[in-house]
Amino acid sequence: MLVSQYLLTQQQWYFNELYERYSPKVFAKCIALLKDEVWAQDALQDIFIKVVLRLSDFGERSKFSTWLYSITYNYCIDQVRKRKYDVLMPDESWDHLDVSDETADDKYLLETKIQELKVVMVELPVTDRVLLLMKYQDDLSIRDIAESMNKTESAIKMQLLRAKAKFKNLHEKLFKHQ
Amino acid sequence: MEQENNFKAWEDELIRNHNRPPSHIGNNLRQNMGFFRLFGDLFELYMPKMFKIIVQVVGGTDNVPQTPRRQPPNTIQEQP
Repeated sequence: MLVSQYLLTQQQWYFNELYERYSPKVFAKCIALLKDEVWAQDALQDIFIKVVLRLSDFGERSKFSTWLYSITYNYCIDQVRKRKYDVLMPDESWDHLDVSDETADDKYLLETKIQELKVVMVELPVTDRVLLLMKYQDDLSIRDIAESMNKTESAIKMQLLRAKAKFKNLHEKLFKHQ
Repeated sequence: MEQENNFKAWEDELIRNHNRPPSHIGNNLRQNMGFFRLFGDLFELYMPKMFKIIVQVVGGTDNVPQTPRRQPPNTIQEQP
């Protein structure tokens, strides 16, 4: 495995391989979450520096990609919060949402047209965007998501339910007439 | 039949549209790593000496009991 080989030998070649393999996906995630290409470039560099500094902590309990993406997501959430650059509809405006009525099934989310998906995702709060990406783009289990976000599994299940409900609610509001 | 997943299709589209991240990011990273490695090496090389000097400056001694050196098996022992 590239990571263990790099840790063992400290050869730059192994790190270059890791970077070549994973940077396009990390970059795409940064663009999806930060919504700005220049900001995403800075984020990509910072994330890989974090990875270099923390690589010895990677315990190989999970896949390297899971570990790397969790650093990416947490970094992007921090950045968005720091710059107060979140969505038009902050979390509080969703307080009225009744999760039990609005729950969307996986099929609804997965089959939303790409153009519509992009618009809806941009409008969602960053933590919901991250949860949906982890679940539907990276196919992470609830346990892995909970570990990445440092929360309990039941909390993640509830948040995911709310994120799906928000997605459906917003999608219907924006594209109902079509 | 495989379930349609437009989240993954969106990711593929992003990767396609933005191609690879600019090469200067990779170069910056390699430079940073070179700096980290140099810093680490310097730290490893000079830190024990620095620590020893600091201990001496604050009044400590460097008379650390040393374990006897291991003699090779064919060493001729000096007669007392």
